[in-house]
Amino acid sequence: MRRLLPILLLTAVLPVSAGAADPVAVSVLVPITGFLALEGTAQRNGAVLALDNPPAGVTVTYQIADTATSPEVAVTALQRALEREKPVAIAAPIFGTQMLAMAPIANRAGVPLITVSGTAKLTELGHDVVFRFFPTDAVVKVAQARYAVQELKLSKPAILYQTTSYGQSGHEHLVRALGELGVKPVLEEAIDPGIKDLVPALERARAAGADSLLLQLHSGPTALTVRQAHGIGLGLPIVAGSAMHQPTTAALVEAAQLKGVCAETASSPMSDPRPDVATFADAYRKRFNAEPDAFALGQYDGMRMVLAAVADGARTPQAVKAWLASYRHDGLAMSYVSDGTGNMAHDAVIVCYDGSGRGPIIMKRYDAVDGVK
Amino acid sequence: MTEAAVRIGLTVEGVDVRFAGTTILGPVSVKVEPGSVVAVLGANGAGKSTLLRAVAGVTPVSSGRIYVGETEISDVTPERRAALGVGWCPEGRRLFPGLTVDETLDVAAPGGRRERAERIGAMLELFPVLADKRRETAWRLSGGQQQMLAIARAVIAEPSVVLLDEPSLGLAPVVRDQMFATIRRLATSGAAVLLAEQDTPRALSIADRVVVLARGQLILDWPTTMAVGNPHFEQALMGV
Amino acid sequence: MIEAAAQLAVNAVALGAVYALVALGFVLVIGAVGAVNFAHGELVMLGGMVAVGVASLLPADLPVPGLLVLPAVLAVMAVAGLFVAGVAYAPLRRAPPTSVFIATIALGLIIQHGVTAGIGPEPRLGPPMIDSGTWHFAGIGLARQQLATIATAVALIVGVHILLQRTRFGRRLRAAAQDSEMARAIGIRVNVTVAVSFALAAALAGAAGLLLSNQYLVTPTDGAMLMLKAYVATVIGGWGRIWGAALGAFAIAVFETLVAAWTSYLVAEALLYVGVLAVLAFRPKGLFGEVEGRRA
Repeated sequence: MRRLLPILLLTAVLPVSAGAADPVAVSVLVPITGFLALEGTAQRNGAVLALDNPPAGVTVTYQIADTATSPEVAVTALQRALEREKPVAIAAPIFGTQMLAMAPIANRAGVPLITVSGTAKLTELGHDVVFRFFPTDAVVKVAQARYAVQELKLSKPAILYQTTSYGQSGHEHLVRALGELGVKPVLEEAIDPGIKDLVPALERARAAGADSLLLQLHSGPTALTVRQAHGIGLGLPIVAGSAMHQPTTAALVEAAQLKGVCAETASSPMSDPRPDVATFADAYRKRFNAEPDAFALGQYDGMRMVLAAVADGARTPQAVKAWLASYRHDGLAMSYVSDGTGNMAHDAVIVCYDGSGRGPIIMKRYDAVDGVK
Repeated sequence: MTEAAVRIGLTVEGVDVRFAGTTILGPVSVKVEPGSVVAVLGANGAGKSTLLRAVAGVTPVSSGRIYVGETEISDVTPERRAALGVGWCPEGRRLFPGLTVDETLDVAAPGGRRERAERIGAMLELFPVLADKRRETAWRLSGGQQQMLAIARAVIAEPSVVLLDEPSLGLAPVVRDQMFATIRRLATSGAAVLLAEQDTPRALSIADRVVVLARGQLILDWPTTMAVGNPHFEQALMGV
Repeated sequence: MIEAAAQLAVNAVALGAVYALVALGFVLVIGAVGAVNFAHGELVMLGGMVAVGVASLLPADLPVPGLLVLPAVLAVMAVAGLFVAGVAYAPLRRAPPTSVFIATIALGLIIQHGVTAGIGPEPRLGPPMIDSGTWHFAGIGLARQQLATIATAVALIVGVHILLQRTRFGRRLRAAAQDSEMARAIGIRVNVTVAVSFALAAALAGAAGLLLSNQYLVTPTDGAMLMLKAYVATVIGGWGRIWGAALGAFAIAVFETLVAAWTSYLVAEALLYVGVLAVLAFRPKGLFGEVEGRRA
């Protein structure tokens, strides 16, 4: 025992080399059921694609849990993950309301949350654990407004936005961005996610003399708006939120109905010509039998950045957090760097459908929209 | 009722009905000959309705047997008993509120469209008060008309066994007389009629036998001629 | 202006007709067994999904795809109704009505999650009854889908009315629903009428799901909202009253479409529920009164 003691003390003091075999844990907590199941599933798929192909020298284990639709379920999933898996990072739900509930708890534990939620408030609360790999409303809504006003020359938009925090945040930013371009909306209408008949809102837009529709709606309501607008012969150009770029949304609308419809998004992996994005898209299609969207790619890029941090020696949550906050990462969709509050993505694209098919065409890129380079 | 019909009676043997662990009726044995009326008398709660419900099959029995003619029906469902010739007119009539007179008779009548129409016609002859009320819904009829309809519904299928539970309840005397006369006619046509009643005099006027129940037990089972004027009978009715 | 009003009116009638179909099936089961089937909304959603599935098996350019799919939806959903009766009702016949509605709540959740797990959470597009085109009449363009929806829903409702009022089986079904013990005593096989009621209710729900699936898409989570509307329609009309529930359903549709178009969604919904409370305050048993012994 006497002779062992110095050796024990020595090994306790010397850093134990983290052999390549030592795995780090990551948790994936996303909505797989409920009204955001589509987006949550895209998050899961992107995260899994990244986590299953870590860089050389990195081994990672991960668990997936469903956060469904309520903040309570998300918080429970988070607490359970923190306790059991002790992750160095967590892929977190796109649902702003759930993120707002989870952030304080993750903050206390010091574990970074990697998300693609666009709800601006997440990075305005003083926590430093949220890392958003999707451009915020401060970026995409500005792109949406600029494209509508500067490219399409529209001046009397009607805004339809969801009553969720996603919708409200987007609405705020959209109105502000339009204001800076000298345009005031003729109608601003809050739509509950459960509403299926959008015709009343569309008729009100028509009555208000709108020359266009700007949408900040989830996938189903976006598809319904496009279809029903076509059904009543509204004939107005539509610049929609990110939901429209999702292939699953486009699948609900006939190609002819998509003519004159555009959308803001972070990226369009299914139609991006760049070779490494195309490779990602092929791998995604093969594995999940579905088309990838910007949420999947954003989550993929976010987890890749986490793995890059681990490869660079960050093995605790705090270390990963510090790494994410300090370094730039060249992802597939764009280059990511923190603006100091956890917003990593600062570029946006506008995609449009020409009525001939369901594949959107990238019309314009807006880089460093919020000034962060 | 056709003249050539086989004469079938009702036999109740040692029937026992329990509820929540207590025996509420029985054991009771009673026999109703075809073409006769047996009146079941007794105070409220004596078990008259329970007996009729047991024969109809809507209240399960814990022991004992019931026969319609030679056929044992002790374990047979109510629907099947109706097909085997048991007709039940429950206490309070229990007409189907939303159905018209015509519809009520139609759902209870067996057979194809022509046969049902014939049977309905026969019922309207037997109960002429219903003849011009065919399209009325049941709840619009007067008390007497409702009772007639309830009886008609119970006998339209020409059952061998007719169970009538307090048919005179709530009816004016004149109407009661008509009704009891009709009940006697049912027996004359060959049915075995088991009649539970509170209107003792009128029941006795048409019954061949009389049975008295008290607190679930059978106290007395006599021919009417023997019961009328008999002091033991009067006492039994008081529930001694 | 006139065109907008006409389109809104057609929308309101189409939606009302479909909601009436949903409410009709809902009330049929209440009448038949005196208990609420909380999985009814999920049955509507399931019908929509079946429609999507069957339509995907048909060649792409067939005319009247929805009409062709309708018989298959009715048949499949009738079987589903028998399944609901067997699983959530039959074993609990002797238990209080609350047991049935808890069992049906559970069944509804199983159906919802089963569909989500089985085919995915995303909304799906159902086939149009005829096509997505427009019919022009006196200078006004009306969506053919909406007109076909109205015709189909009305045909089904009339069909059910004829079944219940003019056939012997329908009369026996009504008798069994009003007093099952008495019905048995006159020879009616009540377990058959109950099973048929469930099958019929589910078939109507499925048809409603098909009719909704093209204009409004069908999502696995749709069931709860539809269930709530059926329940409210039934409360407005009078618990257990078939035509009252249909009227209640139309009222809901009018608020969701016309009133929402004149005011806003929020105001329309608020007005609807103020109206419901008013009905309950002045006529607590609904506009046409309750059917006795059926409150659940």
